[in-house]
Amino acid sequence: MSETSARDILRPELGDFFAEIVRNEEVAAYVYRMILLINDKAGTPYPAPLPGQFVNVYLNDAGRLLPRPISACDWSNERLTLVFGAVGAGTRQMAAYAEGTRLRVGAPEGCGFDTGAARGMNRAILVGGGLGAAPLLLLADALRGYGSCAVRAVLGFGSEPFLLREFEERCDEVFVATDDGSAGFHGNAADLLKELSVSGGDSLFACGPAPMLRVLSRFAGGQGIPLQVSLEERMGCGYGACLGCACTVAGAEETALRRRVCRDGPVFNGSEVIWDV
Amino acid sequence: MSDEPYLGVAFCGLTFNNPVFTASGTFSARESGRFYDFAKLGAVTTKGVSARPWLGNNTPRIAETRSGMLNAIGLENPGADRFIAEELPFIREYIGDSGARVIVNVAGHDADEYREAAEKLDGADVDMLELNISCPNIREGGLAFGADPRMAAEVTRVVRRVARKPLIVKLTPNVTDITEIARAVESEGADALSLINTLVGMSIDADRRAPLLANVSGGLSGPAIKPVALHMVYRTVRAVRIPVIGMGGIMSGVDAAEFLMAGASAVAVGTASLIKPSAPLDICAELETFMAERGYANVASLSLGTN
Repeated sequence: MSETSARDILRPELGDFFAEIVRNEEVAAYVYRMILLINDKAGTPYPAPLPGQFVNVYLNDAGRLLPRPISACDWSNERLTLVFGAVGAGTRQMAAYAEGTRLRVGAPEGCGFDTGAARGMNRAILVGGGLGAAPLLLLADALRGYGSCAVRAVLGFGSEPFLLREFEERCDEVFVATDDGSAGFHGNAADLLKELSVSGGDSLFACGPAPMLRVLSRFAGGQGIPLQVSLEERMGCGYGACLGCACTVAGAEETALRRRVCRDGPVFNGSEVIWDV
Repeated sequence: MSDEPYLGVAFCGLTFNNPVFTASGTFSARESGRFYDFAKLGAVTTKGVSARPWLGNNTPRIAETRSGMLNAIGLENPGADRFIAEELPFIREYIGDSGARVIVNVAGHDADEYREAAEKLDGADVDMLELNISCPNIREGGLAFGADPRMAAEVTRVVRRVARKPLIVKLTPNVTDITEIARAVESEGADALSLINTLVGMSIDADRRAPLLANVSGGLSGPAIKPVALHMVYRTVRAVRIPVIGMGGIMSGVDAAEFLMAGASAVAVGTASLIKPSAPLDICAELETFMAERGYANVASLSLGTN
């Protein structure tokens, strides 16, 4: 039993907030930037998202019940920026919402990046693959405060880069790769990272497709460099109750418990994730 | 406008502050408790607990469907020993002397495992056991027991022998005649029934040309299954003498009232909690409002009657 009482977990200020879409635009093929103005709830302001946290977005559709968990990309003045892919029926519906539409959203959820890991490091390297770039922007913002630590972004896209201007504003260096070679390095973000090489004082933070994260995890392990990865998984509740979004971590067979991407993650240490389940 | 309705109910020798419970697999004390005070519910039902820890199925485990969802979690749980050591004391401390009841859902692969889990959990600080013979997402046990009257009776008999606490048996809708199973487990000493568990279904990802769930099939829940659940509750209530806890797609206080009208002694809220974390308590408040506005003095007065 923990030292704090069981009652201390009750936080009625969590739960639903209502947001108004103030901007919703396509920034690359099938990639949308949605800016939400989130109203106070009975005097409680919306909690500022931490880098790597996500937000449950509920659709205005009684037939599509589950929340869409979307990483917080940026935050300022009660305005939350989400960058998401219109990849399924629900996110396509989100993409089609007009400015002024009101949506129900949850408070920021999950355990984000441990920015403390960058303290005392020479350089933080943010590696984003496609939509995985989105949560790294808020992280870049947080790491800017760590004066001595340089921030490098290595971003891979299919063909059309997005959020580049925002990353350039917040990072010391930005490197771009595209799968089709139409901009920057011809290849993916992991290949570009290896090309640029890493050194002992680096700390890696990554988000992107699982195959990319698996490659990075092997690479970082081989180089002895710390790596945090933000995972994606199909979720049910998005707040830790249903165990829909399991992630298998080292030692899971012994403790017979997987981790929940929504609550124990979405950020995990690259070395603890078992990639080939 | 009448006086405030009385929401308390009693069955199996226990009193409940109200007839709204959580449904198994959709409630976590540490997580649900962040959003609402679950001590105000009639009872909380835990996720399925087995004698030993289970890892559950691979992902994806969840697929959204029209007005519903499929899940194939596979009863991931830390096992009875860790549940009793870590989870149960937390739930007890949280609910304190509120009167909320604790129902533990019991899972197994075979009769021996059900008995072993039930033995451990019966000795712990829970109010009732709910025997899960209806999970569609495990290869052995679960639904295999719940779809066969003979096997359902057998596992009920085995567990009944070791359980001194009131025993609920949770039934699957994936059968030709649910009342046959209901009568079979009643005859072996079940004290109550809960129904329905999920309906077996699947989803195909047309873009990938592949089943969406790693387990291929999953259990369908949510408002899409409510009419099926309501009818099965209505029929089962009329086929047995023991109380029935009704569930399946309850999203509002009016939905809850409909199950109580069908004859359920209590209701459980499941999928709604995944869409709105505070749903069980919200639905309880809505039920009270509905009863007050329509002049229902108590829960029993909602029932259509069984004659």
